[in-house]
Amino acid sequence: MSAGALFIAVFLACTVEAVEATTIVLAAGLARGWRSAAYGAVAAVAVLAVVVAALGPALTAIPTDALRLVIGALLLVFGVQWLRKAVLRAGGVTALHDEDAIFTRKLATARGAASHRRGTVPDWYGFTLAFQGVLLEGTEVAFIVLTFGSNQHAIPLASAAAGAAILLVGAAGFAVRAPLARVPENALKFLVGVMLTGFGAFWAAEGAGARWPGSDAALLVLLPGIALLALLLAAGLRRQEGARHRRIAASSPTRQAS
Amino acid sequence: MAAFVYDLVIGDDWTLALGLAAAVVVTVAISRTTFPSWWVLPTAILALLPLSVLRTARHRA
Repeated sequence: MSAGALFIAVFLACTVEAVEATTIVLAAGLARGWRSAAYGAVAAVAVLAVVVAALGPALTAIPTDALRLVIGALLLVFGVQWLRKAVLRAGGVTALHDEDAIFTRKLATARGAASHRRGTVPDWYGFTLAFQGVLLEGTEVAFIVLTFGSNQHAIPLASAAAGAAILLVGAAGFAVRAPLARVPENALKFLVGVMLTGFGAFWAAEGAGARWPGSDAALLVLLPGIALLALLLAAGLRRQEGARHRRIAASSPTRQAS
Repeated sequence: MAAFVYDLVIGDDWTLALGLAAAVVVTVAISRTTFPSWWVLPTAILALLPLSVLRTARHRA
C-alpha cells in the first residue's frame, strides 16, 4: 500500500467520523456556549492523541506477520460490520444517517438541561456533551489510525491524515455553524466499509501466511469485488423493500373496506 | 468500556464476527499446508455478508 493510498483511506474514514463528532460539538456550542464545547472537544482530542502516542510504538514493535494477522482480523470484522450497516441503509431496511435530524435532537436536549460551572469550565453539560461525542467518534478514528498506521509502519502519516480530516471538517462545521448535511455521509460510509473490509481481509490473510496472487495487485480485484457485492446486495434489498411497501399499500384499502 | 469495545468490533451481528474469526483461523490452518489459502477470507465475506444482511432484512420486514 503506497503512502498516498494510506493517506486517502485514513482521510476518508476519519472524515465520516469527524462529521458525526462535529454535529455533536456544534449542538453543544450553539446550545451551551462555544467555550465549554471547545474545552470538551480539545480535551477529548488530547485523550485520543495520548492513546495513539502510547499504543502506536508498542504496536509497531510487534513482528509484522503477527501484527498483520491480529490487526487485519480486527479490521476485517470491524469493516464488514460497517459495510453491513451501509448496505442495510442503502437498501432502505434501516434509516439513512441524517445529520440534520441528529443535530436537532441533540440541540433540543442540550437546551433543556440545567447549567452549572465546574472549575474553569463555564458549563459542565456543554463540556461533557462535546467531550463524550468527540471521544466516542474519535475512538473509531484512533482505531483506524492505529490499524492502518501500524500495519504499514506509518503511524505518523496515518495520524496526519486523520488530523487533516478533523481540521477540515471541524473548520467547515465552525464556518457554517450547522451540521454538514451536504457531506455525502452515507455514500462515504459505504466506500469506507469497502476499504476497511478489503484491507482487513488482505492483511489478515497475509499475516496468516497466505500469498495473494499478484501480491499487492490483488487489492485491485478484491476492493472492486467487495464493492460490487455490496452494491448488488443493496440493490436486491431496495427491490425487496419496494415490493413489500407495494404489498402493504395494496392491502390497506382492503383492510379498511372490511 | 467492555460494552463499547464489543459494539465497536462485534457490532449488531455477533454471528458475522464469529464466522469471520473462524475464517481467519481456517486461513492460518491452510497456510501451514502446501495448499493456497488466500481464497478463504474473500469466500467468507461473499457468504457471510449476504447471510447477515438478508437475515436482518427478513427480521425487520
